Amino acid sequence: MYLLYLLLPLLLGALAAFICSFSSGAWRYSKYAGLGGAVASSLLTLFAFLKQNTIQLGQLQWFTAFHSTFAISLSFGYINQVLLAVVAVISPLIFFYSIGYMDVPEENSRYYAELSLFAASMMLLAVSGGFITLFIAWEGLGITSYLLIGFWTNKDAPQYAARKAITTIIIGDMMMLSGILVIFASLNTFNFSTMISEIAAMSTVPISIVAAFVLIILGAFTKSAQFPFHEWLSDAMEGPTPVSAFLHSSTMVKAGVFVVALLLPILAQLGLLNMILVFGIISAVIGALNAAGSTHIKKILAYSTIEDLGLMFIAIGLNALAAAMVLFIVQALYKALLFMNAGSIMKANDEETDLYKVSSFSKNRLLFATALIGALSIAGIFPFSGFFGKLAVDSAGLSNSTVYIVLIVLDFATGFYIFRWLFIPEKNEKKDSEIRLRAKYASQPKSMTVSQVILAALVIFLTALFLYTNIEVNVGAAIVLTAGAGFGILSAYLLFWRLAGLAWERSRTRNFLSKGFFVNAAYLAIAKGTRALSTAIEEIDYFINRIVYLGAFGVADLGNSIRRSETGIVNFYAAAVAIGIFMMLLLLVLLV
Amino acid sequence: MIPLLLMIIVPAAFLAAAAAFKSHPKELSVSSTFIGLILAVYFFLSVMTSGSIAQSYNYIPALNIGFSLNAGSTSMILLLMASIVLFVTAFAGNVNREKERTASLLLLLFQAGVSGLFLSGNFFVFFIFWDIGIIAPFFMINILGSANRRIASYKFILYEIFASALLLAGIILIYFYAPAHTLNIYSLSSLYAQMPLYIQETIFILFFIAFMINIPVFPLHTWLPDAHSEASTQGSMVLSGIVTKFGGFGMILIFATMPVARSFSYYIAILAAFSAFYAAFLTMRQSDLKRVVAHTTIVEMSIVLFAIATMTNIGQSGAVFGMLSHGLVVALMFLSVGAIEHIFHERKIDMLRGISKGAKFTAYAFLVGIFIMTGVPLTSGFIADVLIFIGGASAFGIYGIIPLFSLIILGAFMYLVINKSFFANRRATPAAATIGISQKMGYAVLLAAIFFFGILPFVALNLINSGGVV
Repeated sequence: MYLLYLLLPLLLGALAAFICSFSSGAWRYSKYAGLGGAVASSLLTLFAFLKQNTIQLGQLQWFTAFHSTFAISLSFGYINQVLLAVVAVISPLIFFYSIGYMDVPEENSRYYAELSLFAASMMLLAVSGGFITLFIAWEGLGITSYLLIGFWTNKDAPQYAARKAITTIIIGDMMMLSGILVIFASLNTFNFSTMISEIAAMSTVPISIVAAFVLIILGAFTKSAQFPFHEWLSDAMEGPTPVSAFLHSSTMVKAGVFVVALLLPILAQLGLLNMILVFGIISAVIGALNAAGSTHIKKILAYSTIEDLGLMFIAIGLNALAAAMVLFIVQALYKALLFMNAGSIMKANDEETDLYKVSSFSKNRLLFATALIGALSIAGIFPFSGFFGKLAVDSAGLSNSTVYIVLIVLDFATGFYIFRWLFIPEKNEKKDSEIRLRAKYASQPKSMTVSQVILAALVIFLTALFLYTNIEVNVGAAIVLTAGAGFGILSAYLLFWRLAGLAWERSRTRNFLSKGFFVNAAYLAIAKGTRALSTAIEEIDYFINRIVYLGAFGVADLGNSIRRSETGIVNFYAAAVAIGIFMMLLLLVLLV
Repeated sequence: MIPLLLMIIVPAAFLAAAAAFKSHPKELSVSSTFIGLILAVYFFLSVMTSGSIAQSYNYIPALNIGFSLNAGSTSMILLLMASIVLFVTAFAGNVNREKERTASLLLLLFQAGVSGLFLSGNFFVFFIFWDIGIIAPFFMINILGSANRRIASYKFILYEIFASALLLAGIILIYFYAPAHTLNIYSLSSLYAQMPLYIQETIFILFFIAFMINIPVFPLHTWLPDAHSEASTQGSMVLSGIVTKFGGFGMILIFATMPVARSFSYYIAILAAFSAFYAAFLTMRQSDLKRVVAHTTIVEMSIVLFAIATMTNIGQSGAVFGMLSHGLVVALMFLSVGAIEHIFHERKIDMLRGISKGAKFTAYAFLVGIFIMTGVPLTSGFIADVLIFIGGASAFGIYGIIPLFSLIILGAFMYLVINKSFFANRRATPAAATIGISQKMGYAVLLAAIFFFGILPFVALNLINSGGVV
């Protein structure tokens, strides 16, 4: 149960930040509450890694209902450790970065409370060993993500984005929950390891279990922004940048990959890997192409995240778990770094997000250096750790020639769009005087700069770690990767540095790509259809209501017509009595 | 052992006192509901430790009709829920303190009705308190309601009188066909088998339609949106939180005791699932915050009926838990809607903007209410959903989870509402008033109960585990 204590500092931090929101002057302490919680939690995680042999795992019985036991089960397996390590490394840095970035006094407490709750949910997800634990964390992620995307309540765009996100999230949650419950109804367990062994022992798996796992995969796709549920992620960039760096690139969106990775033995047995592979390929391609088409400084990174996640699903779909996990780790670092860079640029340019309107990265040498490290890493150039992630996936792709060709194209596209992202601002016209720009760039809060430098250092340090562990490298794949990425970078250099990119920007291709393959239009069509259906149902309801009213009026009319018989004329009454007696006698005669 | 009758005597005595004295009506209703809550907790604990309690008094010996009370598992869980809701309604429900004396009198009458209904041991007592429980809300709509209150209240009473007529017909049939004219709800379960099958079926259909009106389920639901949205805040809280549970309680009784239910359950499950989707789509078209919350009741209660119709132990315990959860959450939501109306003088979603700015507590109470409705873990709604749909999946396989997807439509729309009206504050509606500490305490009590049962569900579930659903 030690693993549950990992959440405790974060929950306390959230509580402290929440309490700070009730006092007008206390907001300035909430950031320390958040940071303190995150650091303490990471230290506890470090301790857990050091003492991992002594960690007691077990089931914490929650409640029973008619012979069904609901338990909180924890796990500290290899996949859990990967996610836990990623969260523990990134979360203190994000909190530290936020101290500089979030200069909105009155909203600070809410921000840190929500962010701490998110980090706690993420930790819980990372240590979950069963579906109940997982789903608790899963919903926590969804809600905090919703709240953080819509954090800027005084603007309309973030609210729209939050709505879109929560709609996708709730669809995913219900699919996930229904899958979980169907599995429980037939296997009577929530625990992953029990489930894996029980299904492995089955000779034929019932169709309902297969359907349940399909639902779970689809639920994972919503969280991990895979086609056709991916469009919420680019809109989610309306949230504060540290949130984008934390939730929507490095940790929360990995939850889906994490779940699928945990269930990999079952999914392989049920033959669902091809489905994952196909959706992974579609998402990766769409993500890369959209990234090349967008001009929003953060949305490019968001689409690139969709591509990265697609690559992870491709690796899982090829049953190459290790490859997926390597990319899982390195992607978290470089993507968090790139988002931090984007945040710094935005802050130096008064929250401007258009790639063609911001000033260059190189106004601040340190910023440019870290951004370059991030960009080279995501492109997959050797000394940077992203190389190993890409290489691992590419090597796994060698087993299937179609997949491998797609992967090479993606390598090229990644190099192209990320250096487009880096080069375009360099060539922009300066809107401000040189001195003022330099002052803005130089006055970046220290906490932001420091976190970027630390992350950049980690990106490089990870390479040393990989070299130290002597992983096997497929030299052929490495050469192809470097060539593909290098060619992408070269084309970006030619187009956006030498030609200043106008040919590409004005091309029809880019115009088409920036439309996002009409996925948003499809969403709107579905929403419209739902609305039309609800209108029809409202009509039906109105009709039912009319029937009720008609019934009531009918009774009233009947009463009225009977009332009219009471005329007050004695002769009429006498006649009625006489007719009545006659009828009764007739009845008597007929019956007897 | 304290007699169960005390649960009815206390509100009756307070009702007499409130009718006799003109001053302090609110204090009287608050103390009566508080004593009711304490007693409910006491009886809950004693049922938990020593099993169900049955107490009987002679009433009409010539006809072999007694005044028998019974505290079983479902009845105690629902009674506890109702007591919490009543207590909060009494002290927090009447924000602007309008017509306080009438409101308190009606609430006390209703308290007596509810306690009698959930504790009733035979159908005779059940019927008496059913009608008391219908009359009090009728006046809460008719006297205390808003603009269209008259037509809404007549619609409500028309439906409910129709329901109680069917109920009475069913009870009379039982009286004549059961051995020794017994009406005891719990001992009848073994006696139904001795009746002719067509009588059993008739009784079941009569009862089912009566309870179906009350729950309510498509196509007999049209009274609910009007009644709930036109009633006073207190009226909406008890109508949605407690009155709809009369039907749910009745459904549990007939499904768990009548063997003939099994032959109908499949069709009823389909009807309930359809009703959940129907109401969810209907919710989407609402523009009045109070009507939105009213329509969510139909969705949730249809899911409860679906759970009862799964005919599995786990599904039916989920239904009980769902009623517990829904009663608390819908009271919370109507309380916050009442506060919003008080603060902003407005109920239209399109007119309200930035509620979280003008009324922070109310906005967050409403948000948590949505979490519970959509079944977020650590709230009671999650436990209910889990149990209900495990029951659904074990009864109908993969099709048994389909009603869960109605919560997508409901949840997506509710989040849209909260997003547009509560958080988006670019042009925030100005607040015209504030709410007092009692409203905030009301939220706190309900939220505490919701999280209590969400985090420690075994408190309620152990009662069902050991004693069965009835």
